[in-house]
Amino acid sequence: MRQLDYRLAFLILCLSALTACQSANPIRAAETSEQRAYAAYGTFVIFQEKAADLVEQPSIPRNAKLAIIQAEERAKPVADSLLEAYVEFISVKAEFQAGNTSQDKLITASTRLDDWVTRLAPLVNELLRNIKGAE
Amino acid sequence: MDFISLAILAVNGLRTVMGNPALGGGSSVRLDQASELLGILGVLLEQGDDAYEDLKDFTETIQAMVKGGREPSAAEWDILRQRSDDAHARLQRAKEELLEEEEPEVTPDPVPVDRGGNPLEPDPTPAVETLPDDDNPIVEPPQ
Repeated sequence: MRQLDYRLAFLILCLSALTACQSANPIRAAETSEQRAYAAYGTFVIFQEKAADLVEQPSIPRNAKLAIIQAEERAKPVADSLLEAYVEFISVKAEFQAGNTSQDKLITASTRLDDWVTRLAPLVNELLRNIKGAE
Repeated sequence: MDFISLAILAVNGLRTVMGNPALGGGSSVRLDQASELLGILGVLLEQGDDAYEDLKDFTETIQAMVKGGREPSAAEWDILRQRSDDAHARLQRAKEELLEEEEPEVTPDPVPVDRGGNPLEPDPTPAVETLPDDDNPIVEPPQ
C-alpha cells in the first residue's frame, strides 16, 4: 500500500514536471524550421541577457564571470551562423515561391537551418550551466 | 508544498531516472536530450528568477505563432538580433573591465641618477644577501 502511495506521488510529480516542460519550452512549441530557429535563437538571447546581468553584479566571483563570458563567446558565433542560415533559407524560400528554384534546394536550406538549431542547443546549455554555477 | 517546489522535485527526479540506465533511463539520444532539458528547467524553476518567466513568455509567443499558422517576421528577428548584440556588448565590456583589473599598470623602477641627472652606472660587485642572525640556520659540518 505504501509502495502504491509512493507511485501515486511520483506520478503527480511527473505530471507537474511535464506541465513545467510544456509551459517553458519554446523549441518544443515550434512546428516549422523557421519557428524552431526563432525559438532557439530567442532562447539563446534570454540566457545571454541573463549572463550580462550576472557579470555586472559585484557579488559574483571573477572566475565565474569569466566562465560565463567564455561560454557566451563559444555560443555567439553559432547563433550568428544560425542567423545567416535563416537569411539564406528565406532567400531560397522566396525563390521557390516564385518558381525559380527546386523543392530540393528548399529542403536543403531547411535542413541546414535545423542543423544550426541542433548545434546551438548544447552551447546554450553550457551557458546556462555557467550561469547556474555563478549563482 | 507549493507548485514550484513540487515541480523542482519532479524535474530533478525525472532527470535522475532519465540520466541513469540502471533506473531504466538513458537508453537513447532522445532521452539524453530530454534529461538535459529537464536539467535546464530544474535550474530555472529552482532559481525562480526572471529567466524562467521570460522563457515562459517566449514559449507563449511561439505557441501563438503556431496557432496563428504564421512564421516569425523580419521585425521580430531584428528585435532579437538587437537584444543579442546589446547583451554581447555588455558582456564584452565586463570582460575588458575584468582583464584590466587583472593587469595593474606596471611602473618601471626609477633609475638612480647623479647630482647632474645622469644615470648612474650599475655597481659591478654583486650584492650579498645576508639574513638576520636570528634567521640564519646553523649548519653543522658533516662528520
